[in-house]
Amino acid sequence: MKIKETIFLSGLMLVAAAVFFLYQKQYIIFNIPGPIDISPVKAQKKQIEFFFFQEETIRNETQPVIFTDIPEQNMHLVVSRWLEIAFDEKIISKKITLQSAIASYDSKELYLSFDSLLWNKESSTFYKWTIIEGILKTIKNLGCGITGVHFLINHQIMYDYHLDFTNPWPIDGFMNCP
Amino acid sequence: MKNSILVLFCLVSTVCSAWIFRELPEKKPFAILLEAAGDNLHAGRTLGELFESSFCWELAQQIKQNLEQKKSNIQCLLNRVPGQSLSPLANQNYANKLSVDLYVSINAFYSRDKEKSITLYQFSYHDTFILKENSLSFYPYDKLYLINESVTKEWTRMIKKQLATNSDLTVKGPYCLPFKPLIGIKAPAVAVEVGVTDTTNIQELAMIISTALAMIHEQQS
Repeated sequence: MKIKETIFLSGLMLVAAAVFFLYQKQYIIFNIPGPIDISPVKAQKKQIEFFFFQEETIRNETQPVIFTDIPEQNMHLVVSRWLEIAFDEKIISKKITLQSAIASYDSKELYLSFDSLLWNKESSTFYKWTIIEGILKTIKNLGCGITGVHFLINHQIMYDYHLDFTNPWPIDGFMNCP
Repeated sequence: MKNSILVLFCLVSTVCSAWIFRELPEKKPFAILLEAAGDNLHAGRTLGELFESSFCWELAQQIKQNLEQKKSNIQCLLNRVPGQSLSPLANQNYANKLSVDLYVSINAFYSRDKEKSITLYQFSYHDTFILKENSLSFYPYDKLYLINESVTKEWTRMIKKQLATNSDLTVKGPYCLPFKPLIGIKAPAVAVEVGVTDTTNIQELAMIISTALAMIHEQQS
């Protein structure tokens, strides 16, 4: 009886050691299901100011946007809405889709990827610049701590013959540059 | 006594002749590089019947002729010849190797609102500090503009002032922004974007721009 118990306990210990070893080496992963977070995303309607430059004058338009807890989603909503208004107001000549709005790891820089250029190739540099300034001023007005914006097309750096987008554009833009 | 006067006379005459026939330092001509937008592969925007690249080249050619006729001490260079295609940053390498005194980028677009305009740009990333030129260190190519930023600012304002004397033209700017054709240029660099209409006369336009550029040279000399 004593021998049997000893063998049994030894076997048990061996199995326990093997399981512990496999767990430690991550051959076995325990996935204990926790409580499912079913708290709803806090959404609220906010009045957002959208800025547009026409020639050298700035004008703004206030429109409601549904805001959530997720800043990137808010940016996506705001910039998409800006594009819609700009198209309706004939500031941009074609419908442009914002593919994604992603913040950098420190939430200081924002990456905006569009499906095409925001202007046509016949546009003047001044016109192209004012479109960018309109987007920047609208984002700045949200007060979300973004300091620079990268402009992309299909997740590649936006290419334009006249404007350089290799570096992020400062959120203040260049309108007030001395 | 007589001998000492003779020696003194010889000495004075030698010094005087040496001063009269001294080798004067050769006055370096004021070199301007005119960059006509586009090349053989990039025709640029359409301006009625012309393309931006051919219009800008013709305009640059006219400006060069006007400047060299007006001022003997101005040396004007063009960035390309018709039919030539340029590699990326070729204009910048050309300007920096030649150490030109002024770089002018000439661009044009078709003005749909029929307004004859000239917009001036200078390169900026909104960095407000000014670098001291140091030949022992490297600069990133997109920060080179900081070396001559203050001179560029001053000259751009002077060009605007001169252009604004012409009542037919609307002069906008100077605006500081990352204007790509001006990236990586060490010399003071200014970009001119012309709003072209159906009635734009290249000779007239070239005369206006060359007068403004000649004024910078006058101020320098």
